[in-house]
Amino acid sequence: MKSVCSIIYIPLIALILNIYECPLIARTPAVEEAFNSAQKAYDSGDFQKAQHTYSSLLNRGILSANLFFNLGNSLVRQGKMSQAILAYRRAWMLAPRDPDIQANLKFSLNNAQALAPKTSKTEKFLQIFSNRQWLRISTAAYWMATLCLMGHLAIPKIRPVTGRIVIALLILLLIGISGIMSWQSLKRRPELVIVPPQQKALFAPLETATPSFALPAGSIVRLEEKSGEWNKIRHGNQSGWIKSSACTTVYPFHAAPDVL
Amino acid sequence: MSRCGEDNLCPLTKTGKKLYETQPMNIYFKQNTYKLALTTIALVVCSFFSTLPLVAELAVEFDISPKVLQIGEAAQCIIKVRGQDNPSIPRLPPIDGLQFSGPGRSVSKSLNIVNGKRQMDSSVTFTYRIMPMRPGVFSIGPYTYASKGETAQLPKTELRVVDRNGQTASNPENSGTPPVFAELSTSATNVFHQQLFDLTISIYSRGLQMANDINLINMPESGLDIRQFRELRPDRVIIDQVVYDVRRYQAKVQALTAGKFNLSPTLQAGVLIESQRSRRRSFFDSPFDSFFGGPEVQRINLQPDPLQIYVQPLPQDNQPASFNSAVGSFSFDVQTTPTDVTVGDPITLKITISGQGNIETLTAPDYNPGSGFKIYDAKLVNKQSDANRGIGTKEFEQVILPRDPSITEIPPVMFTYFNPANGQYETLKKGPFAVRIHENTNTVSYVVQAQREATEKARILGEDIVYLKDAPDQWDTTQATSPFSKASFWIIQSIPLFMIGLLAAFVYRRDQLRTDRAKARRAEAPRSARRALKNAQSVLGTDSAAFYEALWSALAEYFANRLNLAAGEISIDVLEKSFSQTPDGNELLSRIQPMIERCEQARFGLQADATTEEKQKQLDDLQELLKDCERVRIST
Repeated sequence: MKSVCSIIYIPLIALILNIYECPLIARTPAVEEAFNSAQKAYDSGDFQKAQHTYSSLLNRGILSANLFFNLGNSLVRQGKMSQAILAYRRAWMLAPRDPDIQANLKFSLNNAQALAPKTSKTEKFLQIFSNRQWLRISTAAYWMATLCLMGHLAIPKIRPVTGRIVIALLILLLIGISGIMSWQSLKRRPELVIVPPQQKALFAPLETATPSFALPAGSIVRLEEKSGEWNKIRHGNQSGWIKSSACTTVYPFHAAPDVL
Repeated sequence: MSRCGEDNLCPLTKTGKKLYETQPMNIYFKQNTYKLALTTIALVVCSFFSTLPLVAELAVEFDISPKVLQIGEAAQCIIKVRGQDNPSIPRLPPIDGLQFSGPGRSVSKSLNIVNGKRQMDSSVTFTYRIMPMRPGVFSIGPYTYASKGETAQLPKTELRVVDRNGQTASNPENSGTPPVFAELSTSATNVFHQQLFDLTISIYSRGLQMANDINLINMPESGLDIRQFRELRPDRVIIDQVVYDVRRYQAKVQALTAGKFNLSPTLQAGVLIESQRSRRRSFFDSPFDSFFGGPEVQRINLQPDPLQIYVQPLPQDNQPASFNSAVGSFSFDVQTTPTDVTVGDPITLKITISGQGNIETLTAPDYNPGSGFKIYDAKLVNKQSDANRGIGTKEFEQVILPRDPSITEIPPVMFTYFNPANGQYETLKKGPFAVRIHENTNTVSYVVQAQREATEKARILGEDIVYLKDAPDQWDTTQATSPFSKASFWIIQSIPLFMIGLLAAFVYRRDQLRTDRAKARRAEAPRSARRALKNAQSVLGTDSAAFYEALWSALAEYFANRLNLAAGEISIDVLEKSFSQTPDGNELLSRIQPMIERCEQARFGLQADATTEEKQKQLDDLQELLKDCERVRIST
């Protein structure tokens, strides 16, 4: 029974994960060539050309943390700090544990003197893994838990062991689902990057409203609600209104292609 | 002494603007605790600042409080001398009808920081006690005070003394005057948007002891930002020849929107009255009654006269471009560091704005040094403010990077604010600032400025970004949809649950069969019959005895398992009994009985051999019979 489970079940989990993890665009020579040409342009100091090449790949629907990272680098070299922060933040969403992305994002935020995103300790923990990684972890935990549960039901001898394993896997599944929900929340109420310089959050969605707090270019804030052409944003304990045209959403990734 | 009483700070008077509608504003008093804390702090501060130089400029303040007295009460005459370390004791000439005692002497020192420079302010306060001996109006002063060769004028002050009834001689009855009423007043009724002004609540009472907690309800819920209330020093006034005790509470109010505001709040005050229990005390009353039977608080509602406040928008005409929503009265300073740099090196402009007004919402002045500089957004690095008084200081850091070595000066920084006192915009200008810019010999330099906590030590030059990344092994697409939106995802994820359900059912049945023998045999019945029938089929054309033996075996084993009996116990009588309560049982019995008889006759050689076709028919009949039996319930 056990061997049958191992033989059938383990490959099945791998198959399930693969269905949702397989690259949707194959590694084609054309994409590789464009990527390498952008790198050459960057190395030769033609940062604008590098930026356009990376942007054209994104406009073709290709997506990768490395692509956003390199785009961010070419923007930093041109002094476009707020756009670079947007690119790095998108890269971070795809690969949140990448130290290079974290370093360059921090560098850009410091350099632009922008407000860094404020997140709680729980959010920080749940954002250790990306949405996709949490999905993998949750799916694997779910399938392993059901496998153990089947063993638990079918083979009474192994029940003392499988019971604990099932509980551990269910806890892991719960954490994974929390991680997925955390990212889903970040997609529903996305972060915004302030693009034009010297913006101010206002107390009310009116041009003549009193300024609440300053928003240096490149600041990363959280969208709270939308009202016409105005966005209510939050940064830590501060909240205020800002025009939609003064900020760009980090997610979805294909939003505001003209900014990048 | 116009500043009198402002030190009596109420610890909590307001929790939020919206509370006015649903929850009244509470005012609590913990003066003794605060006084002790303030005295301790003052002693520590005095000992620290005693080494600092003093500002030598004689100034004398003179005041009497209260200015209205009843016979038997005492007033305080306070003479505060500033600018001298050990001034002469002031001597007040005797006045007929008044007795002076004292003076008491106290010293206080405070530190003022003006434009970053520390200045020591020392004062010596002489306090006389004035005891009136008869009613009347007494003029005290003017006097000339001389100390260490310097002189100062003390102004004339009037002291009114009334008899113990609290009424002046000219109007002894005063029956029409209310015992308590409230008044609402503001420092200005015609204010500008964003302007801070004072709102004062005065409670006048005579012959009553007012409780400390006061609730203010029905205030406007928006448009005006009312800060925390403070209690001013109690006073006493004469209104219509009647002496009133006055308690005043003051708060700063900021107009958030332009328009007309009608303030008609209701003030809930408490009056201390003697409790019923303490009034009816007798010999038999418990001694604890006096302990718990203190004065009771009687709640009363006071309706001050409505007050209208007109909030004007800021004038748009001639509004300077550098105006940045600052309203109030401010001072402004800019310091630049360093002033000798290389092209691309950061220069920090430290902008300090201090004053009274909307300091809480004040932002850095918009600064544009021109194309010769690269400019970063200004960052707030320090803020010290008292929102309840609308005073404070904000420090901003503005980093600029010179791009051209020919630059010799940083353009001036301008800060414009609207001064509601004169209704005009005022622009303060600092700079230009001289700088020396050297040619850059390095290739690239970057500015990294850390968060506010570590501004100085985290300023690093030369830090760079991490180099490009290689092409990834996998590419994704922006058109990819979430797996959660795919039906296939949920179908696949439901497979394990389905499998667990099946397995659970199987395990349950297995356990049931393991523990319940009757049920296990019931489940075994059709299987055993099938086996026997299969044997019968195999010997159908060859061995007649074996065929009928197999038929009998099928019948006996089937019913033995169904009825949980031994195979040898199966007989027509047993089956008749079992089928007695079965619907259509007689019909089934009528088919079973000839089958059993035929089998027994064949087994014991009482019947001639049947043909193969006949045996096949018997076999089919038995199969049909067992199928029909399988569908009915048989009592065991």
